[in-house]
Parts: sequence; structure tokens; C-alpha cells
Amino acid sequence: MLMAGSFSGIEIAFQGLLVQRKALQVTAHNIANANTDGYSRQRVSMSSIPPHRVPEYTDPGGEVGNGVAAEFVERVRDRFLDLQMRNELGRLGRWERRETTLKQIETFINEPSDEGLSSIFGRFWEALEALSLDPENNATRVVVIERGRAVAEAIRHLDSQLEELARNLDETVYTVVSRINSLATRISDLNHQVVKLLNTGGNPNDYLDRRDVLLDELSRLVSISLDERETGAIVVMVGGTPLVSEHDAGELKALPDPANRDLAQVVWADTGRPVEIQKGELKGLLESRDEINGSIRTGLDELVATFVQEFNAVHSSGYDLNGQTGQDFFVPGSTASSIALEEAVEKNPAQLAASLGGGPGDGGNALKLAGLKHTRIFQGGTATLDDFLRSFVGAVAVDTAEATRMLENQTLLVRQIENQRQSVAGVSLDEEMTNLVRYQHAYNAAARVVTAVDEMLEVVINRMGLVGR
Amino acid sequence: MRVTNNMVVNNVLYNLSQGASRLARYQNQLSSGRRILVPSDDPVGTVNAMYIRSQRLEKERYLKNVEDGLGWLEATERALHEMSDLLTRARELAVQGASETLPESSRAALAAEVGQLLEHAIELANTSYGGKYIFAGFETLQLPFAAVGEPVTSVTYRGDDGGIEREIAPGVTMEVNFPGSRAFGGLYDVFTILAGLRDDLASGDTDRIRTERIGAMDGALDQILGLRAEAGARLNRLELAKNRLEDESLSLTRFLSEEEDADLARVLVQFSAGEAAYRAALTAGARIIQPTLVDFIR
Repeated sequence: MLMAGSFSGIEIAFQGLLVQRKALQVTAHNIANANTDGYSRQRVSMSSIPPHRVPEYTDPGGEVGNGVAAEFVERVRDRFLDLQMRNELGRLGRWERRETTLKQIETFINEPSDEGLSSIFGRFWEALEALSLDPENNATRVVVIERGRAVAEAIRHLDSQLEELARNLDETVYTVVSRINSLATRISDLNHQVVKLLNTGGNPNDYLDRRDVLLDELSRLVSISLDERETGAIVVMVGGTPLVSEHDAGELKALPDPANRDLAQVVWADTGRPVEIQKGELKGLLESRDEINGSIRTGLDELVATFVQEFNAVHSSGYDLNGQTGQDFFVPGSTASSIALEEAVEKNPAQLAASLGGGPGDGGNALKLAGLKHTRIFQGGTATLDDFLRSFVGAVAVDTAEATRMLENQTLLVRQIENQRQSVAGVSLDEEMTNLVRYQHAYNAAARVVTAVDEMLEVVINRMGLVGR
Repeated sequence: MRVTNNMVVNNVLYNLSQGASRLARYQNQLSSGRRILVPSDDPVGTVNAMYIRSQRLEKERYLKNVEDGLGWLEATERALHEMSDLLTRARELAVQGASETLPESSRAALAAEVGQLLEHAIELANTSYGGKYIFAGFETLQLPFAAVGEPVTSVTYRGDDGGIEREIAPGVTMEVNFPGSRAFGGLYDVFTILAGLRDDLASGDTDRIRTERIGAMDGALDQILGLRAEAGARLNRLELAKNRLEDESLSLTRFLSEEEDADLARVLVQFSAGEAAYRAALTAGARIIQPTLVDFIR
């Protein structure tokens, strides 16, 4: 019958020492990285080494294994949570941008207040009513002109604020595109590192963590889909085209689009084809710039076009203090960016056509002008100016409230997933401390085994065969 | 569920920032006294507030229009009242003068008085309110009645037939003047009648005074009284409109406040509740973040 060698015990204990020390090292690494962004806790995968002798030659059932081996250091992480996280981050990024834009527009609109567009219009109508009482009076005419100027200025100011916002958003598109490119390059670099390490049997865990952080960041900016290859490289697709391939990184480019007032369009640098974007900050930015901001400015232009046309029509049919007729009040064909008073009227209040053709006491046309307030001239003759302004502000308010709510939901969702992720991958100091104690004890015990074997060998080597000496 | 330190930290941070932003919102409401600070706080409330604000501005405007109209009509009423007194006096003089027993000298005195009355009638017809001639139609800046002849035999009317309107509700207007051509001219031209009476008194044509002048005086008086009744009716209507607008404007102010303003008591209670929650989160955070096993292992 064969027996285990005298030194096998010491070998087993030695393996134990090595493995427990490795486990202690990994624990130390975990503790050191307890607060590192995107770090996933690591764990030594231990397994026992089975006996290497054939059972026929040994005691049936009496065979003992050969100790422990550290097979590999694994990264504890849930792929599914990563997938979910990246989906939700894309939505979060989009709503964040939309919310910021709408909140800004809300402050421009300045309602409900005594300084909003509707109050400024209100005071203009008021001045026209006052003119109808007192058309002979130069002072009431001047007031109408001043309030008319205030209307024009308020609209122009709002429009220029919106234009500035569009330009700022456009600038940000360039920044985001260059951030996407830099992330793509870094992910590609990490791909190389991971592949190289895996090829040489190394442990890429920390590189994988870093790559995951970059992928999270990227998914917040633009919608991505991922494909992990067997080599360990990850392929990142944006709108069906690879941004990061197995071997290198592609590049996006923001170009001024002449068809869209030279605002940036995002294209692939190599082919020049437009990039399909569904989610992410980039999507939110483009939507904010073109749809949200654009539709508000279109609304404003529509308001100005109709208002100027109708107001001028009534004004030019009336008579001024000198009995003249046919004078416009606002510059015809104005847009929100250009609305202004006709210089002739602005310079000479007597040219305000307050009369319907009677004498200086006739304020009939002023009354007709003030009556435009109640005339349904907007949206195909279904809405008054007040209705229009209210639905204009109401739409912004509802959109903003929606964006705020969606952002809150999305933040909550992302937080929940992050918590789940932390629950799986995060470092728990309690746990690490427990492990520390556990591995330390195991290490001590293995060392004790060495001592025990040592003592046994001492007996065998130094004390045996000394009978009668 | 495995709970890690970062989860605890994240949760504490999140709850604190939620609590802080809630407190900030209440604080904003308290310090501004307003419930709606930006439209998205309450889209429906915002739109309502805009509507009410515009309505209120409008009512205030109509109130001013009505008050201005009242001023015009009261001035008109006063002038017409004096005019009817004047005509009543002239009629008395005509009746006296029609008596054939009256000595010539007395009749001359009557003629002189009627002459004075005529001058006064022209002054009344040229009454102005706020620098504007109220019996001139739209030609409010021009003296409407200019005397012709010395002594006056008639007047020329230099105004027009313009009816000056005040808007008292959307699309509802009311004329606040009587053009002089209608008030003192037309069928019974007050000035020619008075001039004729004066001349007849001077020449002692008692027949014509009896047969023509007294009848004409009655007609003119009726015409003026008719206008006074009309002015009175319009004044009444304006007064009613004024009361209504004042009530409406007041309730609109209340509605606006209900829509826009923060209910301080409620916000204060919410604020205190929020503060308590925030403190609780702080306390819990302070206790939970500190200890780990590290603190208990030698």
C-alpha cells in the first residue's frame, strides 16, 4: 500500500499560504478601491487540488487531496445591470438636456408676472384704449408709441435670447461630439490592453472596470449598442455603424449644415453620412436646439406676422391728426427678430391713426385697434392674441413639467440600477474585514501546519534511530 | 440584498439632496409669497393666472373708460340743465312780453334780458370738459358755436355730427356726447329762437310772440328735456357698469391671488415637515455612515 510522502503535508500547507496570501492581497485591493468609480469587487476563485494518484494503487477512500489552488481572480459584476444602466443613462442624458433647455426658456418667458409678454401686450392695448378717450392729446399718443415699442422690444429680446440659446446648444454639440470621439479612442485603447493581457494569460479586471466606466459615460452621451467579442474586445455601435471596432476607433464630426442656418449636423468623419442618434445627451441637445427652441421661435414668428399684418391693416385704414391715411404702424413683413415701429410714426406721434376720418376728437380707430385684442386673428381665426400667448406659454409649461417629471423618474431609475449594481459589485467594508480575518486565520493555520509537519520531521530525522546511543 | 458602503453613502446623499431641494422650494414660496414661480410649477394655474391678469387689466381699463364717460355725460347734463333753466326763464319773459298792456320801456328791458340769455346760451353750448368742447362732435378742439352778427342774429356750427364713444365692455360702446347740431340746432334752433324773441320784444310784435315764439320756446325746451332724459339714462347705465366693473375687478384680484399666491399657512406646515424629515435624514446619515467592522476589530 502506498502512502503520501513525508513532505506532502508541507507542500499542501505551502499552497495554502500562497493562496490565502493572494486572497489577502485581493482583499487589500478591494479595500483600497472601496471608493473608486466603477470598481467591481474581486474575488479569488479557490479550488481544491484533487489527489493525483490513480485510486487503484491507493487505499480505497483513504486518498487525500493536494491542497488548494487559486484558479483566477474574478470580477463580480452583473452584465444585465450594465445593459440596463446604459439604456437608462441614454434616456437620462436626453431628458437632462431637454429639461435644462425648457427651464431656461421658461425663465425667458417670465410668466406669470407683470413683466411677461402678455402683460406688455396688455399695457399696449390699455394705451390704445386711453388714446381712444383722448385722441387730441399728444401725451396719450406718445404713450401708445412707447408701449408699442415695448412690445416690439420684448419680442425681439425674447427672440434674441432664444437665438443665443440655440447657438449655445450648438456649441455644446461640438463639445459633446469631441467628448464622444475621445471616449471612443480611450475605449479602443483599453480594448487593445485587454486583448493583449488575455493573450498572455494576464488579469484584465481593472482594465475592464475602466472600460465599463467609459462605456457608461459614452452611453449617456449617445445611444450605443455593444457587442463583446471572444478576444475580449468590445465593439461599440452607434446607429448601426461601429464607432469602436475590434481594432480601432471611428470618429464623429460636427459640421455646419447650410440647410439649417449653419447649425451643426453630426456625421461620420470618414463617409460624411449623418449619424443616427436615438438617445443620449447628443439627441437631447439636437432636439432642444431644433424642435423645442425651433418650434417656439416659429410660434413667435407666427405671432408677429399675424399681429403686425392685422394691426397695420386697421391702422392704415384710419386717419391721423393731419387727416392722412394709409400709414403702417409696425414695419410690414416683420419677424420676431426684426419687429419694429415705422419710423414715421415713431418720430411723429401725430401720425398715429386714431381717427376713423372724423375730427381730432374721433378715437374710433384707436378703439378698433384696441379691439384687436378680442379679435380671433390667430390660428386660422380661432384664437385671440391672449389665447395664442396662453397656449404658447401653456405648451412650454406642460413640456417643462413633463421633462422635469421624466428627468426625476429617469434619475430615480438610474439610481436604482446603480444601487443594484453596487449591491452586486460594490465593496462592502464589513465583508472585506470579515474576509481579512478569515484569510488571516487560514494563513496562520497553514503556517501552523508547516510547524506541525516540521515538528513531525524533527522527530523522524533527529530523534529516530538513536536507540542505545 | 447585499448592502455595500457606497450604496449607503449614495442613498444618504440622495435623500439629503432631495430634502434640501424640497426645503429650497418651500423657502422660495415663502420668501416670494408665490405658489407659481415658473410656468411648469403648475401649467394650468399659469394659464389661468395669465387669463385672469389680462382680464383684470381689461376691467381696470373699462373702468377708466366708464369714469371718463361719466365725466363727459355729467358735464353734458349740467350744461343741458342750465340750458333748460335758461329756456324756462326765456319763456316766462316771452309770456310777459306778449301782454299788450306792458309799457314799451319794460318790453325793451325784457328784450335786453333775452339778449343776455342768448349770450349765455352760446356760452353753454361752448362748454368744455378737460379742454375739449363737448357739443362739437369730433371737432373737440374748435369752438363749436360762433356768433353771427352784432347783436347776434344766429350762430354757425363748426363742429360735426361725430358721436364720441367709450368702450365699456368688449365690443360694447356708448356715446358720451351730443353733437351741438342735434342738441341746439335742428327743428328748434335755440339761438335763432332766442334772437327772434329778443327782436320781437324790441319791436313790440306781441302777435308773433304769442303765435310763434312761445310755441317755439316750448319746442326747444322739450328738445333739451328729451336730451336730459337721454343723458340721465346713459349716466345710469354707466353707473351700473361702473359698479359691475369694480366688483369684477375685485374678484379677479382675489382669483389671481388664489391662483398665484402661496397659502402661507400651508407652506409653513409643509416647510416644518420637510425640515423635520431633513433633520432625520441628517441624523440617520451621520449614524449609518460612520461605523464599519473596522471600528470593532482590534
